[in-house]
Amino acid sequence: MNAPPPAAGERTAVLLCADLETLGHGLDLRAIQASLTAADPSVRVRVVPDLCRRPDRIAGVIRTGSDRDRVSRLVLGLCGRPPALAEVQAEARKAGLDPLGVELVNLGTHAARVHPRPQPTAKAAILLAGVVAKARAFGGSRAENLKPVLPAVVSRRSLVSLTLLEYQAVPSAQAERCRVEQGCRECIRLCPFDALDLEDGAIRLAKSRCTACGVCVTACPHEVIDFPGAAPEQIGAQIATLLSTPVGEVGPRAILIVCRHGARALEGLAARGVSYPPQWLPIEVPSLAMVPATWLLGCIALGAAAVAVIRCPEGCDGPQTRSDEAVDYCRTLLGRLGDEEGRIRLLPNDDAVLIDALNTLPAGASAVDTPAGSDIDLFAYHSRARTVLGLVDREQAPASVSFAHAASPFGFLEVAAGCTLCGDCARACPTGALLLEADGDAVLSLDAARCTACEQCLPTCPEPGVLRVRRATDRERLSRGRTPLIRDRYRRCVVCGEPIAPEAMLRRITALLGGEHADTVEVISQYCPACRSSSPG
Amino acid sequence: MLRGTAYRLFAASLLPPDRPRLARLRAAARPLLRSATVLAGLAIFDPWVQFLRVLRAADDGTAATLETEFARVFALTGNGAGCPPYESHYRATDAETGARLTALVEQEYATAGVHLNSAVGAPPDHAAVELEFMAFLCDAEGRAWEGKLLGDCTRVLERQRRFLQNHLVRWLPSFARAVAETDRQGFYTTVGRVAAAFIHHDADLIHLLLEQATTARDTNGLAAESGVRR
Repeated sequence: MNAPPPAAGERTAVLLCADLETLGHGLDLRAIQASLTAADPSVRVRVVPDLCRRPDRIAGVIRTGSDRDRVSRLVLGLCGRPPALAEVQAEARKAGLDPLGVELVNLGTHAARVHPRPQPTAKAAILLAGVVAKARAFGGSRAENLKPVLPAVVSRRSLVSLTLLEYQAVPSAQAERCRVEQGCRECIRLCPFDALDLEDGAIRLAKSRCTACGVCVTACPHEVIDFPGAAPEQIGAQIATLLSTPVGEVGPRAILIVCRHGARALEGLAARGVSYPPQWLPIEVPSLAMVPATWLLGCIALGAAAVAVIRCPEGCDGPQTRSDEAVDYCRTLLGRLGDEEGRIRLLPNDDAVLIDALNTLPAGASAVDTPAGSDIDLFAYHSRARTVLGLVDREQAPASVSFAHAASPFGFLEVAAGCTLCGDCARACPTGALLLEADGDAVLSLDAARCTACEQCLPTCPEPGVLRVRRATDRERLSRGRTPLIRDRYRRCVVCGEPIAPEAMLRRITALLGGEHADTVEVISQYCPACRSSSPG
Repeated sequence: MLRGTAYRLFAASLLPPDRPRLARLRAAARPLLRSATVLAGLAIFDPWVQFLRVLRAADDGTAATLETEFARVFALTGNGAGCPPYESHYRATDAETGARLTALVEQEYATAGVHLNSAVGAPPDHAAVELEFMAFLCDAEGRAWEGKLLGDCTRVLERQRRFLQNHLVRWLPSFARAVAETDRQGFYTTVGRVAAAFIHHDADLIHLLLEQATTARDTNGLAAESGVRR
């Protein structure tokens, strides 16, 4: 699935602050305008004087132009972090746009200040193209996605115009698609801040506790949690475009993943005018904890020469070990594939050490000749196995790629003797990896590509020690599709022939109830529930 | 004051659309629409403007259509179709739970010193009644602010927060979704959408205000303890 093309007549407005022409090494804004519109005629680029200091001009700028133009998306190219987000959001509303769909890109930090000419212009164009794709993939927001926040600084203009509130995007579960009633609790289990709970049969977010880290979004196996501005399809569209857009040339492209805290490290470099290779294309995510290993691998699959994650200086809203383990898993997999492990790295947050790391691209790193097109679906939860298998197949890896790892996105269920095929584990499985089929024989099967080792099946099993889940990646198992784990015959009713229960279950019942309740066991073993009620005695 | 006005408009929009009521709604919407851009800083701006526009457009010519649509959308038919505007319909699985919910709502009214006017003919958990109750609480809050009674303001805000979180937020969004699926004309879809967006926003805003009030109170308390004059 590629980034959706714009609907007929719809435009994406890209407003660039005119000060970028003279900031740092300076950007050639006309060249950026020409390259973006040449690559995509539905993009409309305007250079706006003093945009960073006067966001109140945004709505007016958007409204000028042909009546047939219909701006449905907005991207702002700024010199630094926006000083008045509340005003930006108010202007977006006046222009008829959803503020949570507005994308801001810090071209001062990521291009103008850190790369000598002509590099910053090319890089800025690429970053803008990526953000345009991200904006275009925005699927809308709901009232549940909004968290009002009082800004740290209230300007006089804000007081006069009553733009006193900023709105932060927070995740929200779509109640109509959520599987909580089927027993899924993944988001509740994994939320680092206990911000999610079950109320009135639906998942509710306590906004006061939510820090918008996004962990729940990538943890949900049913992809029902919306998070405007950081949805997997948006991130995927941005990365795919960064790696493939022809609007600029910076050499083999690499992806640099930073959280909102880690982005300050890049701002520190920019403030000192320290340069690093322009191939590093930053994307900002709400937290590193929300980034699964398959996103890092997805970047490689889409053609990135390298991927780096900048450590968060503040623990990034959750266990720092999560991103450490994800990177380690990716490096282990690449090593097994005969690829260079250093293509995926975890970088320190310290300015001095960071710059050395950024100046060192992996030896021999180059863009992959046959990337997976612009398939942004690789970043969806349901595509995890496909991302890994695609990479494995492309790298022409050895047939047996198999290793255990604590951060493996996949798990394997092992069923020991004693399973009665009751099916409780299958009913609890949130991804449908486990299935109990009852046509003919009773068959408990596993689709390993769907198993995420969430272990929700374990506590449901009435037989202790029968189920075991291992986190591992095994090429052969992932490719195999659904395979039976255990099979058993049904005992059938002596009257009507309908199935009563698997033989193993009846043996278990006999072992538990036999002797004192032998008569009851005999009835259960011979008659189905319907015939029992009509059987003599 | 604007919050109270908004809740009253939502409540009135969910009552039978007779001509006098529509005329009053139209008259109320006109000045609000003229000054609506003042609220562009708030997330409810877009649904609010859409709501004012449909109110302004609801004239005598559309009254008959609205009356038909009102009956079709809000009456529960024999096969379960329709969207009854009662909290108990969306939150209760049986009659006993429904009665308990309704009693809890009545208790909220009673502790605030209000009683339902039986002439209205609507049960306590009707959407219009609950929204009108929020308007009443907003009026009480306004009087407390005018009198600079921070303690009273905090108490009323807390009552608003509790009523929103324990009642309206738990069912009005589902009601609004059901209306959107049933409504063919668009008026009630817009009403449901703005009411749902507004209560979510209001619940968040009140939480923010209470946090600020608590911080201010704690800061003043600490200052008083240390003898610092403000």
